[in-house]
Amino acid sequence: MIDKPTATRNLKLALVLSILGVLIFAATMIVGVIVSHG
Amino acid sequence: MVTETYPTQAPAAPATRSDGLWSWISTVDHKRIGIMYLILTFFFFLVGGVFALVLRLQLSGPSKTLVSPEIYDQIMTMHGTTMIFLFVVPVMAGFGNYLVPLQIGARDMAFPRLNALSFWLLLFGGMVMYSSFLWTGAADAGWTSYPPLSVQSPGHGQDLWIVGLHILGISSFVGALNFICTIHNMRAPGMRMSRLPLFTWTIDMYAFMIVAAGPVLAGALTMLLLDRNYGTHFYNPDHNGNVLLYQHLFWFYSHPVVYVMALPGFGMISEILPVFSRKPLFGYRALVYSTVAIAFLGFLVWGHHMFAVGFSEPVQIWFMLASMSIAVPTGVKIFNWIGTMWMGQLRFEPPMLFAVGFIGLFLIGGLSGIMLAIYPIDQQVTDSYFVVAHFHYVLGTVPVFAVMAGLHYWFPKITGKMLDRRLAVQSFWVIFIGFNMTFFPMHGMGLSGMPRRIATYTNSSWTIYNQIATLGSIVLAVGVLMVMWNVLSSLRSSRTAPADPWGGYSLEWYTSSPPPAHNFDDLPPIRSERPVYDLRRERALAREGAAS
Amino acid sequence: MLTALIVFALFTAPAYANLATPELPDSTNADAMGNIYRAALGACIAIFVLVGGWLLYTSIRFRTRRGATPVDPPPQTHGSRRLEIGWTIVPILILAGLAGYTFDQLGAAENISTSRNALHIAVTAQQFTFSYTYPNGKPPSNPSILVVPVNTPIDISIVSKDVNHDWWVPSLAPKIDAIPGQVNQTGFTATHAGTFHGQCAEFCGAGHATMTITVHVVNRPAFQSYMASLK
Repeated sequence: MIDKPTATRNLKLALVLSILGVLIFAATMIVGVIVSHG
Repeated sequence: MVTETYPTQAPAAPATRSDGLWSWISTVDHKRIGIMYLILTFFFFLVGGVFALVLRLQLSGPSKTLVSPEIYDQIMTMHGTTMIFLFVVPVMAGFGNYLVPLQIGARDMAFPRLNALSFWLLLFGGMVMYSSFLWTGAADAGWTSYPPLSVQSPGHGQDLWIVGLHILGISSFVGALNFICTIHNMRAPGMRMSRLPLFTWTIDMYAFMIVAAGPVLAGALTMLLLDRNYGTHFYNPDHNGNVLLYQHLFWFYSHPVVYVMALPGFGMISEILPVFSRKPLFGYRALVYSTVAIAFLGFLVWGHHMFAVGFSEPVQIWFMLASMSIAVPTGVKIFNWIGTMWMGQLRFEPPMLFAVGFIGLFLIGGLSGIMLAIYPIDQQVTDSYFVVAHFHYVLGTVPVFAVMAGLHYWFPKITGKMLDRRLAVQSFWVIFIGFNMTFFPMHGMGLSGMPRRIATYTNSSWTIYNQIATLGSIVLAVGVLMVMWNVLSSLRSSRTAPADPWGGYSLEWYTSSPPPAHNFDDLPPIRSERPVYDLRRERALAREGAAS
Repeated sequence: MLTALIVFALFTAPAYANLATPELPDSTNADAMGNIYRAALGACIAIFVLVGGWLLYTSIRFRTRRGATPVDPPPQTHGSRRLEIGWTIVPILILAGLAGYTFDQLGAAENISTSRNALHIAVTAQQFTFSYTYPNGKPPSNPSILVVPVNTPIDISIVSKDVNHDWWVPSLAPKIDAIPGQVNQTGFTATHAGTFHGQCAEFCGAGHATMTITVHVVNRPAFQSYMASLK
């Protein structure tokens, strides 16, 4: 098993990257809405 | 051949390890997951290849009726889709899965269960896409799937394509998270980023690009799905929508994705050349910087896929200059590779043959890319077979030469067996000849005016090019089958592989072939980017010292 | 290796015939286009010969025989800062040169004329035909054959009624997409009379391969009488 500090760092980084991904997806959708309906 | 073994050689596999089907289905071991990725992606390579043969047979002469245009369009669409999303992108994840933890001296990936999920989502996504063949037919608007055609496409093939691609996107995104966390948090002591093997560096960039670009494709596809099924008008100009919106979003992802596919291939070459030149990698730092530069610049050039849509001149010029500039870091790589070989002691074992073949052929593709970047030229030859030639020389060479090089290089490590050397050399030549016969004439086809994605043609002056290309595709297929046969028969042969059959430099060569479940019993000191080379040298010097 | 190169050259020979002349240029902007193309092709061939040659030479010069590996490894050179700088700057210069030459020729390669006596044609693309309308509002007498006069600037505006298409007559003009919801412009001035063929160059569905284009370029008097006959 991985030691706790490393596991925590992994989870933090994964969370940051996931949030980044969701934000980029949302931004794309917003751009789409603005271009086509704005 | 270096056959030195190390005292920490663990037995190939403990007798108690289970090998039943369930142990594979439930595995979270990165090595087993990597193997499953490789098997699945090579299967899709064969499927995509069969599609290509059908296309080539249909086009081998004018006015052929082997397949109807409707069927041709589905096969053409699924050929591209399969090769990109079900083969080249995930095959890198497969090699990455197997090798990255080993190369950094870790026991497994950061998230082993998430790793397994990535694989099963790949299988599931592929199945969803292919189920369309059994229903109303597969997607048929090209792998690029531009609206309005892809919005109007009747039946459910297009929807299954979109949903399948969403699933594959999640598989890929989640895998990328895993790679980034593993590479940045799980390296063994002494394994600084500046000592990372090039292949692992390229997987790091692969992952970052997927994280940044993947969600944009997801957005573009979601809007397509909504337009198709829920009455929205993102891409419908009759209701304020914008057709080009899709193209911008699609290519914003899809241009970086070509570097997603190419960079790990480059990483494999960067590992193989030094070992078989008996020298260190020339310009390690430059190769890392150029990898990062390509990854970054790759996000600025998407418009070069759209030079015929009516951009204003400043926009055309931007995309032209940005695209030309990518040639600089790419050239740096090629020069450093040749510099690695220069004044070396070259051993043309099969991995080296494929690697050197890759460099020569990728060079051709890179040069035709420079021509295409110049937009007045592109406006003549875009959407013609000239482009098909270009992208097969840059993107087709990656799986057919770079990944083949990697396959022949790491096969002993993964399976504990050696491939048949003579058959491997023969398959290289057959593949080399077949590949060039297939794709080089396509430059001529495009320059003669043959557009792409046509199910048939009547212009008989194109026939000779097409006949050569079709013959070439059959030769290429034979070469691929020869490699397959080599793999399957070698698995059953008695040619067992030592821990380090090639005189390797990176940590995977320290442990047994195949490695034990926990990867390493111990690690050598890591003081450079060549820890296993350093250890071998130390021992050689110690022996000389003892002898004198 | 040598055999492979010879085989490769033989099989690719047919491509060379057309490499030198991309789609016979029969329009005024084609000269400038041809210059840009030849400059780029020339540069690329030169680079291929130099770099490919260097790769080939290296592969042959430094190869070792199987089982005859020398005892001592070669010098373990890690890199050279000077070389890195050199082979970064030289490619930048080559690319800058190519780009500069392209800009220089770009004016002449422009195909949208500002000339007063330009003939304006409206092109409509739909699955799976192109249709044309002259300034007098009439279509050609044969709807699928566009008749135009020689040595006259032709301005084309193109729209699509359904999906994306692309009007491509290689001998006359660069391709231009027909995109629903926007009007695109292109143009050419034909320098020779004759019949020129092309076809749709943006995938548009099952009939994409059949969406052909025919342009008859005729001398000016012939064109005048043709236009008169369209009333």
